[in-house]
Order: sequence, then structure tokens, then C-alpha cells
Amino acid sequence: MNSPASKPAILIIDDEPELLRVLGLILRDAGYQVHQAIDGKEGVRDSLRLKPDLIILDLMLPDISGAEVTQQIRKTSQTPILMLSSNESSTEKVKTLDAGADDFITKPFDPDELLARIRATLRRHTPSRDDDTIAIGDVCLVRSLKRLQIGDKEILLTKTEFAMLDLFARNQGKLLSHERILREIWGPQADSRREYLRVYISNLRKKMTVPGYRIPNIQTRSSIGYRLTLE
Amino acid sequence: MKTTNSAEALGTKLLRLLTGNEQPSRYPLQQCFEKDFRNRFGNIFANTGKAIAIMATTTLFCWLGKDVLKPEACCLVFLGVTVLFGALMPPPAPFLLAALGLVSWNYFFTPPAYELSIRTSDELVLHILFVLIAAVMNSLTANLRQRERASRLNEQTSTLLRNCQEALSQGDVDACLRLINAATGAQTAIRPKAQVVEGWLIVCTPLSSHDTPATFLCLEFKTPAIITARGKEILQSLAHLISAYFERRRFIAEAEKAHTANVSEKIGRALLDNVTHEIKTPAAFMLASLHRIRSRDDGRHENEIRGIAEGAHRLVRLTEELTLMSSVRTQMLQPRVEHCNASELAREIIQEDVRPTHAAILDLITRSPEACVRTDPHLAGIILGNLISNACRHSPADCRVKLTVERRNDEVVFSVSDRGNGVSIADLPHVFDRFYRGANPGSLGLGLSISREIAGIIGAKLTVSETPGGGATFQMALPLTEPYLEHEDALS
Repeated sequence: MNSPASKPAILIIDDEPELLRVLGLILRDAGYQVHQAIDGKEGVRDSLRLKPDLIILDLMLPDISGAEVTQQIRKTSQTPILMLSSNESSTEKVKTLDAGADDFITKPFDPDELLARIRATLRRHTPSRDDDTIAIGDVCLVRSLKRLQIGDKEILLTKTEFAMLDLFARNQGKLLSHERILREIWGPQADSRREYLRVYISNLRKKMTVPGYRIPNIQTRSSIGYRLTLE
Repeated sequence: MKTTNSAEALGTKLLRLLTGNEQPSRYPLQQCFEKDFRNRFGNIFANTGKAIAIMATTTLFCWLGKDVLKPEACCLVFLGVTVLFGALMPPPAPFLLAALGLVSWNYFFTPPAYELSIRTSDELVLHILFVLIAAVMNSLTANLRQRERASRLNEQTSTLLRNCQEALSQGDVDACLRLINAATGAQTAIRPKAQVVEGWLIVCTPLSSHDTPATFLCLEFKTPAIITARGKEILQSLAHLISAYFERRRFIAEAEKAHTANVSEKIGRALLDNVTHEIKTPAAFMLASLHRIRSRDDGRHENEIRGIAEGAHRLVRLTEELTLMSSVRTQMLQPRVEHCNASELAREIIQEDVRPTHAAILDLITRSPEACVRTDPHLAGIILGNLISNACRHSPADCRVKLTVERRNDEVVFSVSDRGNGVSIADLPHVFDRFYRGANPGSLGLGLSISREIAGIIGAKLTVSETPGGGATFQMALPLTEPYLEHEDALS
């Protein structure tokens, strides 16, 4: 990992030289160090060797799939991975998210949006698994007491809502697929809840709406999943 | 070995002579499917005649030797003949033999001759013994014959079933039917119920549960047939065997079809993904390059930059429309229904499926904030996103586009209204037709037709009307559903 004083390093894994070139210029202009890899295997090697702060990964590579690259990187590193996707089918995106990727951005993308995503991802603090208290903005989650506090107000949540918020908070800023949320909250009975997942999320959003505080919101990425973010 | 064989052959010949059965090897199985009452009664008459002839011959033999043979010896001869031939002949011939034997012996050979009488206690004992031995022997042989017949029937049935199974495993249904014909002496056929000839016997209904119309295994007997309960059981087993074969064949065919469909769907999906990737990647670096050029430009080239960007976006939109149409046509879009609050859904769609430049001129009006729908949010988003994108593109620069969500009776209606040129009356009936562009340049005329097809998939209704005061209003109506309430206590 690069020291905070130095420029953050970004590794781009993409087989299209022109996109690599333009993205490299844009990211360098924005003050990042840029490394490039032209296929999945080289990307996995470089991610181990260079230890970048963030990886931009094209989903469709000539040698191995994006999901496989993510899986291999996740064996040794928790570096945030931002997918570049061009297809509309959600299967590959969900597979890569479940393998450990953090978010995706669809081609063609607005470079400003890409830079905003990169900044948000790099800013993100990922709480360790053992943290009992997770604070995001003015929201404080005490896991041992199963308590949610916004400012000095305590919000009553149901068991499911708390489990869901806890899952989001532990993966703050990360896009979680429907499948993963269902699996982690309901386990084997998940399928019967699929239809109502949106209702639980909507209730949670309503309960967390307290005016005058800095509160993270739960963003929807249609047909893929949800993400908790302070943006 | 040879001796045994020839002894067996001799025995068979003798049996054939005595029983009158021409094909003794098929005897038990075929008896299950006797063709004619006359056969059965004919056999009884023939056997009665044979029993009378045997006893007449025995009486003549003893008559000729009556000077040498004592009445007791004659009794033994009659008893011997009764037991021997009774064992070889089918009922009721053995009982007839015993009765004739007893009467002949008493009439001709016990004193006084030519009179039916029992005078001494010895004679009485002899008569009782004769009847007892004949009855016991006959009953024993009848039991033996019955068991032997049953075991042969079982053997023949299992051989027939095994042979039929073998024929079917090689896919030869005709060979199987020929085997059944040979065993039952019938004409067998497999045909739909409508084609069954009157008088034919339908054995199994239906042969295959998935055939329309139902198919039956039919048997035709040239003369009226009596089929025993066992015969019916055998025919049912055969019909089940053939039925299982047809079911298996159908499953294999369906599995192959599903496999082929699966493979072609995968190939189609991969092709679509590749085409999209190959078009969207250049569009991505073109737009990224333009972004860089714009950041260094002093504004003099803004119009050119905007023109190139619009061209790239149009290419992307056409690609998306074509891939979407292909997905719709190949039934790759499978709806995943979710319970949604309609107003929240509209907000999400604006956030996710509408370009930021379009969202900037869009107003969301929610008149029924609690109304809920059950739909696939992704597919509903494609439709509404498309309607909003059309409205924004056709809207004059200073006008805003309205997205209204409201409940109307049992429906939730999402209306997208613009203040553009509207849809001309001539265009109204055709706007949802494929490749219909009206006076709309830069479009393949696919967007609305795809929207209509997707609406069909998620059960939505799409309509178009004029916005009061000018412009067009497109509406998507979804059935209203009750709000979902989760009954779970809050954590204390």
C-alpha cells in the first residue's frame, strides 16, 4: 500500500489500448499514479507486485473472466475493485460482485462520474469484523446491543432491519448484490423473501430519515443490488 | 442326454395325442387368450370320447383274460389304467375314467356277472378303496398339473416381457408388437382413441399421458375372445412396458431439445455481450477523449464536441435497442417480480435509467405516494427510461417534462408528458410498431416497439395521447397491489 502522502496508485486492467491510454491521461491529470495491465493474468500479477490503492477492471478480458480475476486478487488483497461493464446482462456483474468486487460503472461512462466513484471508494473506511461500534456520518451502530443511534436519538429497528443495516455498514460503500443480501440475512429461506427485499430496504430508509443529521443513504442499482453510502 | 431328449419327445407326442393340444409349449399362455368357446367345449367332448375308448379297451382286455384274471386282479388293472391315464388327461376326464372303470369292473367282473351289485364285505372294501385311490390320485395329479401350468405360465410371461423389453430397448416397437401377436394370437396395434375400430379391445388407457389425443394399445381377435383375469394382467404389463418406452423416448427428446435451446441461448448471449462490448468500448474512449478535449478547449469548439458526443451516444442507444430487441425476441428476458412502492420506483428509475442531462429537465409528481405494484423494476425501468428519454429529446429547450405517478381505480399509472410537437393523428396508431419512425431522424423506430413488447412481458399497458395544451403523453399502467406489511416486533 502506498503511503498517504504519495499519490494514490490505480491499476487499470483492460485489453483496449486506446481506453487504457485515455483513462491513464485522465487519471494522471486528476493526480493519481497509473499502472496498466492488458489481460487478466497480468492484472493479477501486477496487483500482487504493485499493491495499488484501487483496481479498475474490465469485465470482458481476452484470457480470464472478470469474476475469476477478482477471485484471485481477493485471495491475497482487499484492494477496492471497480468493474467496467459494457453488457446489460446482470449475471456476470453479480458473479464478480459476489467474488469481491466493490462497484461497477457502465460503458460509456462520464469521466467525472468515474473520478467521483474513485474518490469515494478511496475515502471509504472499512470497519474490521471485530468493531463493535460502527459510525457513518451521524449514524452510530452498536452491534453488541443491536442499537441504532442517529445523533442522540435511538431508532427502533426490527431484527431483520438491524441485520440488514449491519451488513451494509460492514460493507460501507460496497455494492451488495440481491443474492448476497438475501443469503446473508435469511440463509436457506432466502428465495421466499426475494420479492419483498425492496420493502425491507424501503422501511429501513424511512426509519433512517431524521432531518438535520448527516445520514448515509441506501442506493439502489437496478437489477443488481444496494449500497450504503454517505455521498 | 440323447435318450432323455427322445424320451421327452415321446412324452410330448403322447401328451399331444391325449390332450389334443397342438402346441403344448404355448399352452398355458395361450389359454389366457382363448379365441372361442367352442374350443373349450370341443376339448371336453374329445376327452370324454377318449376316456370311454380307454375304458372300453381295458374292459375288452380283461374280458379276454377273465379266465386267468381274478376279479381282484381286474380291479387292480382298472385302478392302474384310471390312475395312469387320469394323470395325463385334463379334468373332468380323470373322474369319468374312475367312474367308468368302477362300473365296468362291477358289471362284468364281480360275481354275479352282468349285474351291478356289492354282496360281500370284501367287495365293499375293494369298491371303497378303488374310489379313494382314484380320488386321491386324481386330486394329486390335478394339483401337480395346476402348479406346473402356473410355473410355465410365469416362465412364458416373463420370457415374453423380457423379449418385448429387449425389442423396445433397441427401439423396435414393431418387433415388440409381433411378439405380442405371436403370444396372444391377436392383431395388435398402437393408435389414437379416435382411430380405434369398433370391437377392438383397448388394453391400457392411455399409453402416454402427454400424447394428445391419448394413444392406446389395442388388440383385435379375429373371433370372439375370452381373456382370463391373468391374461388381462399380462396385457396391462405389456401396455405399461410400451407406455414406459414412449415416455422415455419423449423425455429424451425433450432433454435434447432443452439442451440445444440452452446451448443456442448461451451462444446468443455471448454474441450479444461481445457485440455490445465491441461497440461500447470505442464509444467509451471516444467520449473520454472528448471530455479531455473539452477540458482544454476555450469554448470555440463546443458545438463540434457536442455533435460528436451526441453521435457516440446515439450509436450506444441503437446498440442497446438492438441487443434489447434480440433479448426480447429470443425470450432471454425473464421477469423477476418485486413488491415496489410506485413513487419510490419512479425515483429510482430517474436515478438509474435516465441520463443526468434528461433528469435535469424532469419533474416527478407523485399523487398516490402509498400505491404499490408488483413488477420487475429493471424491465419497468427500461420502459419508463425510454419514454422519458424520448420526451426529453422531443421537448423544446425551455420546457420541462413531467413524470406523474397516480392511482386510477385498480391501476397505478406512470404518465410521461412533454410539450414537444406531439404525435400526429396519422402516427398515433403506429407509434408502437417496429421500425416506425414517423418524422423522427436518427432513430431506428425500435424504442417504443421494444417498450411495448417488454410491457407485454411484465403485464403493463402502454398508451399514448395528446398532452392538453400541446405535446404527447405516454402512459404505462400496472395493476395496483396491496402494500406488504411485515409483522415483526422491533428490537427492544
